[in-house]
Amino acid sequence: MDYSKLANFSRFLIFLTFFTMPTAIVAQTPSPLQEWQYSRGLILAGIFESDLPEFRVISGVGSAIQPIYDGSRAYRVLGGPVINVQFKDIAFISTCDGIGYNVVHKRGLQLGVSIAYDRGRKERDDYTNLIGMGDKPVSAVPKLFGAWVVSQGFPLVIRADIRHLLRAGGGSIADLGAYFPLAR
Amino acid sequence: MFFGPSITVADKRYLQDMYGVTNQESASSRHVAYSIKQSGIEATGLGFSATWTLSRHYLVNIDAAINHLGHLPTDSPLVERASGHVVAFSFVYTW
Repeated sequence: MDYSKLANFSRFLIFLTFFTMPTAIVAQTPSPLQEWQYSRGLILAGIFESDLPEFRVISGVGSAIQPIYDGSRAYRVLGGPVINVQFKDIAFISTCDGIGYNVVHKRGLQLGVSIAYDRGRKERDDYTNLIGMGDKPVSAVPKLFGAWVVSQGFPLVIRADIRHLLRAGGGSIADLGAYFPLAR
Repeated sequence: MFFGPSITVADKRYLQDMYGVTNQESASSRHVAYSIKQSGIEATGLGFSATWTLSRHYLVNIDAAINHLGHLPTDSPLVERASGHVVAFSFVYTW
């Protein structure tokens, strides 16, 4: 085994997990972004950093180009603030992922609850296609989620969640995803 | 940088709410009625995320994804295109 390459990759992952706090501004559903992208890398910090800072805070601005609604041909540009406050690997407040608490926050394993929001859909967003369909109002979305890192040597992250839209007729939705840090 | 897939499933209530067209909605819109009576795959997708450090505190992030709707949503008259893409950029300060 080439330990120098493993050491370099580990240092790279430490850098990645500290600096790549999720900043997706359109993270609140619906969005084509994968659910894992809203919290990418955070669980890896608990593995590659022995002493997490008490608070990690980022703020800024962002923009996104995405379909007006899931299935539409037309696209639009969204913009807004980016704020992400992480209290160790225990709790968070984020424009990406809402407000949440990791009930289980062990090395390589997180299970938690959060409350986020769904932006809904308005007729005026795409009048040509949505006229007569009524507006889908903004909805609070409670979520149960979990993430697991396969191992420190193979830091594949498996993430799953289930969430429920509280608006009338909202329904429930679940995601299962996996992601891997790419070496330079 | 991170890369990975995901799959999203939804119950029939969610699918009907987002992709269905009731008889009432059909009468007031240009769409034929479409009813979803079963749960199923809402979408599958791939995502990519990356960060560039400009300095000790300033970062630029990019997130991109492609999402493909399942056959239940795709059959909806509301869906013009089964695949959607998103690209998001952000410029942030790390305190």
